[in-house]
Order: sequence, then C-alpha cells, then structure tokens
Amino acid sequence: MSEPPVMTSMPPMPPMPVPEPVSPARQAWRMFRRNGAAMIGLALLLLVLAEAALGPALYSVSPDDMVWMPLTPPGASEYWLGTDYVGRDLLAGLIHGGRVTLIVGGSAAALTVAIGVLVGAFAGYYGGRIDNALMRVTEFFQVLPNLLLAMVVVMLFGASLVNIAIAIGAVSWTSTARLTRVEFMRLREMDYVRAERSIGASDARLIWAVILPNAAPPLIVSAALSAGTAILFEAGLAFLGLGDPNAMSWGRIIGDNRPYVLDAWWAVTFPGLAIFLAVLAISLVGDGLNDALNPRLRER
Amino acid sequence: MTVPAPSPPSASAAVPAEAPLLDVRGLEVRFPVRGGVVHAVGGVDFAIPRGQAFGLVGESGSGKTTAALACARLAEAAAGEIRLGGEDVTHISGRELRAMRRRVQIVFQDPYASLNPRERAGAIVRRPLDLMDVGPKSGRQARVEALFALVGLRPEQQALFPHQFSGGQRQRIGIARALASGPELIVCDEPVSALDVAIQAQILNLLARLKRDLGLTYLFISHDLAVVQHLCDEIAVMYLGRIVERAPKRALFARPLHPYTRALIEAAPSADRAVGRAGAPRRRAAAIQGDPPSPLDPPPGCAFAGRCPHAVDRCRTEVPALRDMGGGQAVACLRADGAGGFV
Amino acid sequence: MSMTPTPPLLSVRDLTVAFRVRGEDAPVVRDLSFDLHEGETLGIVGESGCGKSMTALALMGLVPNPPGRIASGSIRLGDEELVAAAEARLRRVRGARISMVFQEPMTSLNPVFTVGEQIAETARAHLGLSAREARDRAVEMLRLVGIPAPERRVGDYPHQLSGGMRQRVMIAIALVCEPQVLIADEPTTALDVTVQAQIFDLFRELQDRMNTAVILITHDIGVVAEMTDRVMVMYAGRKVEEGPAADFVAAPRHPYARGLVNCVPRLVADPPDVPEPLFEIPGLVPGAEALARPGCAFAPRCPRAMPVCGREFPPVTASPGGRSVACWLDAEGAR
Ligand SMILES: Nc1ncnc2c1ncn2[C@@H]1O[C@H](COP(=O)(O)OP(=O)(O)OP(=O)(O)O)[C@@H](O)[C@H]1O
Ligand SMILES: Nc1ncnc2c1ncn2[C@@H]1O[C@H](COP(=O)(O)OP(=O)(O)OP(=O)(O)O)[C@@H](O)[C@H]1O
Ligand SMILES: [Mg+2]
Ligand SMILES: [Mg+2]
Repeated sequence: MSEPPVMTSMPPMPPMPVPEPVSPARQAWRMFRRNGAAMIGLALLLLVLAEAALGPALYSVSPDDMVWMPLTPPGASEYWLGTDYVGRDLLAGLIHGGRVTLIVGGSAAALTVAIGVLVGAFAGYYGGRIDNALMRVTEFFQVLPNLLLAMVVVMLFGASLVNIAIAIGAVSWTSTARLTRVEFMRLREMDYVRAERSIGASDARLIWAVILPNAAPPLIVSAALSAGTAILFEAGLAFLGLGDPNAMSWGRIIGDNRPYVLDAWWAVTFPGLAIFLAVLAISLVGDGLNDALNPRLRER
Repeated sequence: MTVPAPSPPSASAAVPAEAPLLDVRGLEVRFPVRGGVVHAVGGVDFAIPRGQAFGLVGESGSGKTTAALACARLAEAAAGEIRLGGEDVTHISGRELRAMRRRVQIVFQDPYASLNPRERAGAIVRRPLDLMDVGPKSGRQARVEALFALVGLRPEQQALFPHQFSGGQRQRIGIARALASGPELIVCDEPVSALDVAIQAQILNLLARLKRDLGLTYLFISHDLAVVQHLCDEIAVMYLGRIVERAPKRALFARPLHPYTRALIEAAPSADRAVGRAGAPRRRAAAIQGDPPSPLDPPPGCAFAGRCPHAVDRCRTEVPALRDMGGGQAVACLRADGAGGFV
Repeated sequence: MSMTPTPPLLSVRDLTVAFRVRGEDAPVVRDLSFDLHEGETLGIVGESGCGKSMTALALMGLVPNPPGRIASGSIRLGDEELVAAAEARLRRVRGARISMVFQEPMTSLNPVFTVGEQIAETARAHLGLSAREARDRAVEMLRLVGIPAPERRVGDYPHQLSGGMRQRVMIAIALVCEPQVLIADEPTTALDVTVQAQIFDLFRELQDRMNTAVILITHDIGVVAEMTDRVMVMYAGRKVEEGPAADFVAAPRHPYARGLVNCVPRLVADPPDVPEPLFEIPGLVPGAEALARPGCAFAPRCPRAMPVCGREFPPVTASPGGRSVACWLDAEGAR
C-alpha cells in the first residue's frame, strides 16, 4: 500500500433533507393517476355508483308501476327511454335496478373475497394438513358447475336478494382462495415475517396484520374482477327468471323483456348497455390497480 | 445518547461466568420436501462465549442460515440441544420462549425483504418494544430515537417507509430493530452480502462498534472469508450441513486443517496475493474441482470426499467426526494430521 | 500486457447512453472512451448503478430502447462502426464477434430448451451449420467448458444443472462462434467461491487458447487484481480512472477508486484480534436524476472535494505506464 487511506471514518456530511413519507398506497395512487384508461374507468365507476346512490331519490317514478302504454319506444313519450312490455318506465327501471344490481354484485364480491381470503389464508399460512383439507374443499367447489349450483341454491332457498348474493359468493370464492393461499405461502417465508416472529408476534397478528396487508394488492385486483363477475352472474340468474321478483335489477329487466326482443330492442339494449358499462368500469379500474400495485412496474 | 444496554440476563446469573452464552450440541434440522427429506443441518456443535463473534462460513446450501434460525428458535430442531446462558431453550414455548426472544435477535441478509413495506421505519423499530413489552410505554418513543441515533439514522427518518431508504440504510433499520429489545446474542445472517462494497464497510464498522460498545455476542454468517476474518473471533466452516472445521481465527488462517477450508482460502480472490504476481500464470489452478453434492442425496461418508484431492476409500464410507486438535481447533477429516498435513 | 502499437480490436470513443427518466435525459454512461486489444482482459469496476452493465449492453447493441438509447459516440470493432449500424448487421456481429455472459445463469437460459439445443441454435444462426453439425459442436463446446460427460449433458434442461454448470453453459453459448470480444457481466456473483475459481480458470484457459479479448465487469477488487490486465473505474457513468491492474490495486489515485480498494476487508495471514475500522466511503451513489448535473459526481462524497469539483468535470490527466485519472487533485498537481 503506497498511500494510506485518507481517513477511516465518515467526514461530516451535510445532512440531506429528509423527503416526505410516501406510503405504498400513495405510491400506487400516483401510478394509477397516470393511467388514462384506469382514470376513465374510475370516473365511469363513480358515475355509476352516484347514480345508484342518488338516482332513485332524484327520479321519483316507480319502476314497478305501469305508467304508459307497453312497449313505447324511446323519445315517444315523456318517458325518455320508453316503456317495457307491461308499460313500466324503463329509465326508472334502470335507475332503481342499478342500485340492486350493484348491491347484489358488491355484496356477492365481498362474500367471495371473505370466504376466499379466510380459506386461503389459513391454508397458506399453516400449510400441511390444514392446507390439504382446505384445498380438498376448494377443489370440490371448483369442479361444481357454478351457474347450476347457484340456480339450485336460489331455487331451494328462494330468490331473495340475500340468497342470490350468497349463492354467487358461495360458488365463486375458490379462485380467490387459491390466490390468497399462494400469496400467503410466498409471504410467510419473507424475512420481515420471520423478523416479526422473532419478536414474538402471534399467529393472528402475522396472518391479519403482517401478511394480509402485503398480500392485498393481487387480492384487491381479484376483488374488483369478482365484483364484475358477480354483476354478470346476477344478471344471468335474473335473465333465467331466478332474480328477486320484488327487486328490479338490470338483469331482471332483460329477463322480463326477453320475449319481446324483436319488438322492443330498447328494453333489453339499455339495461345491457348499463351492465356493460358498469363491468367495463370495474375492469378498467381493476387493470389500473393491477399496474399500480405491481411494485415492478412502479419502479419506473 | 441513551444506549440500550443488553438487559441483564436473570437466568444466567446462577451460571458460572465461563459458561458460553450459546451452546449448541448435536443440532439437526430437517425439512420434508417432495421426494424425501433434506438434512439441512446434520449434527453441528459449537459454543459462543459471551462478547465474542462466532463466524459461520460455507457455500450456498451448506445449512448456515438453517442452523442460525434454529438457534433463534425460528426453525425446529429435529435433534440436539441449544442452551442459552446455560438454560436449555430447545423446546421451550409460551412465556419462556417470549422471554428468550428478547435475548436473541436476528439481522437478515436481504434488506429489501426483511422490512415490512407497509410500515414506517419508526414503527418497525418500535414493534419489538410493544410486542415484547420492553420498558414502560412512556419511554419507548425515546428509545426508538436513541436506537435510530445509535445506528446512524436521523430521527426525522422515522416517518419514512422502507422503499424510501437505500440498502445500507435499510440494513441499519434492521439492526436497530434487532437491538430494540436489548438482546445479548445477535444472529447476523449475511448482513452485508446484499450490499454494495462501499456500503458493506459502513455496516461492518457499525456492527464492530456495536459489539464493542454494547458487549454484544454475534453468530455471524457469511460466505465471504475476508468479512468473517475481519469481524469474528472464532470461525466454523460448514459443508453440506456439518461443521468440517472450527478454530480460533488466527489458527484457522495460519494452519487450516481441512482440505475444504484450504480450498476456500485458496479460492478467495485476493488483491494482495495477486499484486505480487510476476507475469504469466496469474493463479494456481482452482484447488478443487466439481460441484457440491445435493443435500437431498448426500453421499455416504465424508460429504467432501468427491471433490477432495486427499480422499481415500475410507473417506467414502466413514463419516468423520469433529476431532479436537488442540488450541481450540477441531477438524472433521479422517486424514488431517493436525499439523496441516495428511496421514 | 505489452503496449504494442497494433490498432485496438475494440475502440470506444465518447460513448454516451441516455435514459429517459421522468421526461429528462439521464446520461447513465457519459463520454466514455477506452480501447481493448486482442487477448487482453479489461476490468470494469464501480458501485451498483455506475453504468457498468449499460456500457456492456451498449457494446452489444442491446440498450433497452425505449427508455434508453445511445445518444452519441462511436464503437468500432475492427474497422466496423457499430453505433447506428442496422439491426440486421448488429445481429450478425452479436454472438459471433462480440458475445456476453450475464450475471444470473438461471434467468438467462431458456428453461424449455435443452442446453444442447441452446448452444446449437447459436451455432446454426451464425455459422450456418446443419442440425447435426450444430449438435456435435454443442457437445464439443460443453467438453471445452469442462462439463463432464458432455454427450449425456447436451440433453439436460437448465434446471437439471447446478449454478456453476449453468454458468459454464452460458460461457459455452457465448464462445461457440469464437468471438473476438467476450463481455462477462459479473459472471460469478451468484456462485460459490470454489466454483468461481473454477470459472475463472476456465476463462483464462479459453482466452489463452482463442486469444479472446475479455471485458470483465465486477465489483470485487480481488477479482480485478487476479484476473485482469487493465482496469477502468466507473462512477456515475464516467470513467474516473484507468490503468494496469497491478498498479491500480497497489496505488489507486482517484479518491473514489481509493475508497473502493480500501473499504473491503482483506484476507490476511495474521489477522488482528480486534478489527481495525474499515475505510468508509460516505454517502450514496447519485440517482439517475442527478447524473446530468455539472461537475464531478463524486464531489458530494469526496473527503477532498474543492469548490471547482462542484462546477466542472475534471480533465483527464494521463501519466506514464498507461495510467489516467479524472480528478482535479491530479489536474492541479500536473500544472
Ligand atoms: N424451508 C425449507 N424447505 C426445504 N428445504 C429447505 C428449506 N430451507 C432450507 N432448505 C434447504 O436446506 C439446505 C440448507 O439451506 P440454508 O438456507 O440453511 O443454506 P445456507 O448455508 O444458508 O445457504 P446460502 O448461503 O445460500 O444462504 C439447502 O439445501 C436448502 O435448499
Ligand atoms: N430501464 C431503465 N430505465 C431508467 N434507468 C435505468 C434503466 N436501466 C438502468 N437504468 C439506470 O442506469 C444506470 C446504470 O445502470 P447499470 O445497470 O449499468 O449499473 P451497473 O453499474 O451495472 O450496476 P450493478 O453493479 O448494480 O449491476 C443506473 O443509474 C440505473 O438506474
Ligand atoms: Mg443463507
Ligand atoms: Mg450491472
């Protein structure tokens, strides 16, 4: 060594300014905001939600009353979108039906996620025998034909909104469960989980407070997608005549008017369009979340 | 600066002063995998006196991490005994285990994987205080600040999230978290291998300073001989789940006895050795050939026999035991004569 | 390495690679010039993010675009200019005359093809061999890189090989066309030291046999000392020092290079009982957004920074023995 090291300790560095804290959620939002399609989806979704929340209060026509001549085309009366085969206001049906559709879709999705996360979390966290048992159950549900099973549930227990939501949730949680399980298996081997264990964290804390929040990104995306699926599912059931007869929903409007499709295109087109827009909004937002929550894309 | 001193161990008070802080005997750890059982750790013995740094080196998959996790009760020992301050902690649970966790903490290898991305740095360092109920609640915030200062971070940085720190800074957070409960033993699992060379020096200096100032004991894992030589007092070399040689630092480098230890020392690229070179053949040929065997299918006899230039038939059938060679040096080789030669 | 007046095999002049980061151009490699001669090994060292890999990718014509591009400069291989050459032309050079071994041997092999197919594919694409010939060539290459029983191993998939063997396969692929330049980007970081030693021995042996010029990217000063003839130190995209490896390791000149050489613990025969504190380089490598700033990028971390360092990048001071350094300390001394 011809020259000794200049010095052996840190010279006083001018303290660098400490940046603002940026939580992972905020980071994701920044990313999401830059995604045009996702923002359009979000705007559309907010519009649909606002309609479902406020619409019925603002537009007072009842969706169940016969108000005009049956099968009046759009623009031919004060009921802009026309009437259905019994003379009910289609616009009123759409507005009220939106609320029902979204509630059923939302609660079915919530149920899907709840069951899926519960099953997946225990299977993934504990592994071994618990995992085996839970996965057998999951496989069993997975191989049952979904729509058929939901139809059976609804026919057996009656076509109330609650039963419909439960039926949809009960048949669609399996993919969430698998996803959660895989995430839990991956995350439980992470060093930060080990570090928590080394400071005596309980299983409950590890599952719900440490692993679950970190498993959330793919689960949120999958929850969004299952909300979309649930809406389609509900529409499908209603279309088959298995909707709640006491609640107007988009699917039911289509189902009710099915025989008159050729005479009254509007009676099925508008609710179909509504379903399409709602599901599109949800999947655009889901896609945006997928990108925003993906740490690898976030780097750039 | 209020330096968090190690909490005086209540259990070790009755034990004679010479008793090692950590004493591991016949430790075995197995993992069931598809197609068999991995004997990740196949019977290791070592002891670490209080205040010393014990290095564990060896190649990837030799079981260093697994052995260390078992010592911290984060992996289940299939056989053997782990004593902390004279007290058998191999199978304790509940309250006793929690008490033990306060005394043994870990610093992990990958600073990007060892911090919960959803928690602020301050919360990460504080968590052990809350979970293990260390000190009065009112004093915890101050303690977190003292810990930040101790590892060279600024108190304002407590509010930041892990992704807002560099690798070296993250490792400092990990060290602060490990120090929070005032542990006596810190397991450092390759704490600098994921860091840039320039940052490595900062962290190694920090660890050396903490050891000196707080009287800490380290179980220090690395695959880098130079790092282990720098920081540790005693070193064990692992190969395929077993310790093949164990010696005080000076003895190990002055007189390596196991052929694998020699190969490791030979293979380590060294600036000094190369600078003196004159012209052509820049290095001797690699001392050993071949790849390490799979832990799923360990060979009978000495695991190193397949790559060993000194192996004889007996090596392929007989598992060598760790033999004491004097001066604190022990070697698991049938042929090592204890003076650096082979019988 | 004798300083023969033969023209260099590879000659890089004022190479600048820019990345678009948040709407700004960040020069991740800047005004880089160096030569590489036949049979020579050049080491590139520097901390993470200093632009070592980007330099390598630029030589290969593989800078990810967008967001990156070669903004200016020239890369000459023999008498062929590679910057701005057509992609079709580059494809013929890449793999045949320049080839590269990447850091991660697992991710750079295709898991769904056998290693034999992957070697053969390269041979067929560049050498125009028939399927049979290519396969024979693959076996021959595997033997060359020291894989036992190559006739059997050609049929193995990457996951069936150990890390060291995979890296040997990567080297086999890189060498199958007997390139003039081999770039190895941290080829052994994922491997154990005993295996690393084997790989380096292999490099040396092959280099002796084929007279390949090698660019070895590493952050290990020990590897530089043992493996290379000449070293180039990069910091924040620029070359800050260059010189013969032995001289460099014995007495680095640039404060950053000095830090790099002195901050690593050395394996010594008689270690002290209490560790001496290691030399520390304070602070961090600047991020991409700070690269375009004027002055020496190391100044904020430099223990001997002067006001001028923050204003202007220092001129390159050359000294006898093929050494050069870009630092105001030397520039002043030279005056
Ligand atoms: N959870 C696990 N399940 C199955 N096998 C495991 C598990 N953890 C480790 N192993 C195996 O046990 C052996 C020892 O692994 P370990 O991580 O302890 O090695 P190491 O010496 O720390 O290696 P490295 O230097 O790569 O960190 C390896 O063969 C590994 O594949
Ligand atoms: N796709 C990209 N977009 C923007 N910046 C990039 C991209 N890829 C690399 N960079 C930047 O280019 C710079 C040089 O990177 P490079 O990979 O060459 O570093 P390196 O010296 O090879 O580091 P390492 O030792 O970590 O491999 C870094 O500052 C990096 O952030
Ligand atoms: Mg390990
Ligand atoms: Mg690189």
